[in-house]
This record gives sequence, C-alpha cells and structure tokens, in this order.
Amino acid sequence: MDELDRRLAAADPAAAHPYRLPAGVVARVVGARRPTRVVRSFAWRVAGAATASVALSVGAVAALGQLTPAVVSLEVSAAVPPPRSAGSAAFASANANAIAVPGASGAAALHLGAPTRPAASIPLVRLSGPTSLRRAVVRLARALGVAGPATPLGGAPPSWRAGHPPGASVVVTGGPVPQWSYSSSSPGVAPATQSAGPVRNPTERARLRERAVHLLARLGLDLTLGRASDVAATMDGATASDVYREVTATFVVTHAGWATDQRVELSVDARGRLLYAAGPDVTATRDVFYALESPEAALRAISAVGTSHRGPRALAVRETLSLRAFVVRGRGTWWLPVYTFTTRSGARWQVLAQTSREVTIAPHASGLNARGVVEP
Amino acid sequence: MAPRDEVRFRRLVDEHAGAVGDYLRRRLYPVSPADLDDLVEETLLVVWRRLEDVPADAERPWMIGVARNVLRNARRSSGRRRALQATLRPAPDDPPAEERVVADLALAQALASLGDDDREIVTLNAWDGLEPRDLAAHLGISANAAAVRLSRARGRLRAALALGEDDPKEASTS
Repeated sequence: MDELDRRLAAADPAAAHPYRLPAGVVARVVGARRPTRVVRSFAWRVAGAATASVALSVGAVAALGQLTPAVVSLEVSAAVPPPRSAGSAAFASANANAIAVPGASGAAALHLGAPTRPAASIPLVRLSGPTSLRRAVVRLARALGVAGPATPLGGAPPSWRAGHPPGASVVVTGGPVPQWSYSSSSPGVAPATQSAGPVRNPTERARLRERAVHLLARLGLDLTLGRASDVAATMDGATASDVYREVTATFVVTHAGWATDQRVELSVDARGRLLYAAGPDVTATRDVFYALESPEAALRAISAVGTSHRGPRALAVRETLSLRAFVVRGRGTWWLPVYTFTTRSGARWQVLAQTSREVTIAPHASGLNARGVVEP
Repeated sequence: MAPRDEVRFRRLVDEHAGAVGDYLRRRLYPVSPADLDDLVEETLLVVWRRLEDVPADAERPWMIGVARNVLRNARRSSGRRRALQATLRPAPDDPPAEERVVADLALAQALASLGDDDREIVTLNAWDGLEPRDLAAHLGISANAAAVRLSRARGRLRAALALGEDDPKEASTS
C-alpha cells in the first residue's frame, strides 16, 4: 500500500461505520412478489429528508437532490372518466354536486357512520400502459388466437384493431388508461336480447371468475380481480326448445386489496365460448404509500368550498375508499385514493382523499374542482 | 424458487450485502440509514430475481453493478421533480457526493478533477476492494483492460493530487 492508497483508505466515508443489513430484509425480499412494494416508503422518507435539508451541509443537499426518487409531489390535472363497464353507480352521479355541501350555509352537516375501513395509509400507484398500441393489439390478438392484420382506427384517443370483422377481433384504445376488448362476433352465435336477470348461482359465478382470471393470465395482464360487480344473463327466447343464453360478468380490478375504478368484463355462451371480453391494459409499476386523509377531514374541506350552496339538506352518508385514475402533470396516470360518499337518498359524490402537501390539484384541472370533488 | 436457491441467496447476502451497503453509502453520503436500507433492499430484490444470472466467480462485482444501476435509477428519477425541489438540485457541474465528504481536501479536489470513469474505477478499487479481475466483471471488460484502466486512472489521480499540492515528486511516482 503506497501513500495514495493510505490517503484513499483514510478518506473512505464508509470505513468508520460498515453497513449492517437490518433484520427482516432477507425474509421480505425472499417473500416479495412485486418489486414495487419494496421501495414503498423510500420516496416519502427521502422527501422528508429533503425538507429538512436546510440543516444539512451543502454536500448533503446535493446528495439528496440527486437521490430523491420520482414521487415527491403529484399535481393532479384531470380525473379520468371510468370505463363504460364500470357503470355510473360507482361514481359521482349526474346530480352529485347538487347534494348539499355539508356544513355550508343552510345545509345540515353530513354525518358519517363508523368508518368502513380504517386505514392510516394507502398506496399511490403509477400506471403504465403499452408503449405501442399496434404492438399491444398484435400481442393480445396472438394470445386470443385472432388472425388478421393490425389496422389503425383513428379516433381520439386512437384505437387499433386486429382481426377480420365481422369475425373475431381485438381492439386496443389508448388514453390515460388504455383499454382492450375482444369480440368473437361469430356469425354462428345469435345475439341474446332479453334480460334474464342476475345470475345468483355461486358455482356459475365462481366459474366465471376463474375464467376471467385465466383470461388475464393468458393475456399477460398482471391485474387482480375482486368481487363481481355484476353478473347477469341475457337470453333469446324466440324458441322455447332452443333458448340461447349468454352470461356477462363484470369484475372489479383491485390493487393491494383496494377496489379501483377499472373493470374486467367477459361474456360467455351456454357452451362456454368466449363471446366478449374487455378490460384495462395497464400495469401498476410503482407503489408509494400515502398518508391518508380521514373521511371527516375530507368532508370538512369540502364544506369550506361550498359556502353558497342551496341544494336539499344533506343526510347521513356512508363512505367507501377506493382507487381512481387521475392524470398527474408530467407523470402519467396514477391510481389515487378517493372517498365516495353516499347520501341516504342514494346520490353519490366522490372526492380525492388528498393530503395538503403531497397531492395538489392543478389550476383549471378537468373533471374535478379545486378541492378534489370529482365532477360528473 | 427452490430452497437451494434461497440458501445461495442467503449466502450472497451474508457475504456481500455489507459491501453493497458500503458502496451505496459512499456514493450517497450523507444519507439516512432508512434510505440506505431501502436502496440495499431494492438491490437485493434484483439479485433475488436474477439469482441465476449471478456469476459464481464474480458475485460481489455483479451485485455492486446492480447497486450502481439502482442508484442511477434513483438519481435519474430525481430529474422529474424539478419544480418542487429546484432549490435543492445540484447544479449540473456539481461533483458527486463522494468528493464532498472526503475530509482530505486535496484528495477531494483531485478526485473531483477526474473524469467519471476514472473516479469510478479508482474508488471501486480503493474503497470497495475490487481488484482488476473484479473490475473486469463489473465493467464488462477484460481483466487486462481493467488493470490498464485502473493504472492510468491512479496515475491521473496522483498527477492531480500533486498539482493541487504543488508536489512534483508525487506526480512522478506514477
């Protein structure tokens, strides 16, 4: 070892305190299935460190500035409309903002029952869609055995289709949350036109769910399905001896146990042939845990906004917490937590469960007001 | 993942996780222990997922290479939040953190004057203990090329150090 080596060794920043791996890391890594969960809180901790950096040296500030990962502040610029399959019931109804704002002048305060699910934090989830719609439609068509060229359909957002309509085809549509759909459109399948009501048979419902799960796996989509939001049959009863029946099931896509605004839908006929399927073509690429605003705080903040409201008096509500897609300025699409409040009259409205600092709403954001109330 | 793989992974952790942590600490210093733990954990997760790719004869260089990529990703993503932390971002020509924390000011200045590649290979050798054979695996070059590159980088460091200290004898030792 020469003089240079000695000086370098003496200058080693880690020499005095060799790194020791904390207990439990190996077990977490070995048990981890999703890498995004491992870095769960890193962003927020570094953000906190950056905030406190005035007390640090210039070098420390520089180091933190270089290191801090992507998520420190999210500026929401738009609420993404839910997919058609989600229906309107889960979101703010047409007269959502006609409900009296709690605590506003002339309106009784909204009352909350016991929280449905206490949660100190909830993940913010970055969503990534396909980089190329053409490649996506080719990939899905191949997985579904659909032959035919991929062709652009135009539109806004743009779509691509693979297949030979009226035969089987696959369509992928871009946008903040890209969607795909498959239609067998087989001429041999008669359209069912008359509602036969909801399907309550648990075996049939379980079979449909299993079918949907397998379909997603076949398509290479890493989505988790929750409960079925709707399972209903339609029939063509033209001839009593040869009733044609098909069943359509819609499943809620969940993430980390939380319901999202996305749905996976599929229809099968009585022989089990897949007639139609649709869902989002997205991947959750990063989770960052988020200090959750309480429902009560959300209500109070809403109250401060709606001081001039003249709607009917508000009634007691219940609230649910779920994840909804929002466009975040400069950072793509994210699932962010929303509270959905339901009045006794059945009206619903939805508000971004934001904290005061980490999530902000851009001026002139579309689809939500300054406080984060989602507009119908 | 088979238990046999888990045994190998645990051995890798036992033998090299400390070196990975030290590598990251040197390049992030000062950094909170929690943040350092998260980066090490992210590195180990990659190692776990790519266990079959870890070369038996170059485990530590390979793992440090993963840590380098994890670090690079963290730094790269910092560029996406300029608006909030504009005041905290270093200027583009700011030297990396390791030079800022070296108490030996002359050495710090000499390190700062090196190119990125030279500084990297010198500190990998001197601080992380990677010999030319390891450096070759880490950098994806031959052992001979790594040895030559290290020797030249150390020579340039000596020269810079001598220049800073106005000591021609030090410069001539390369």
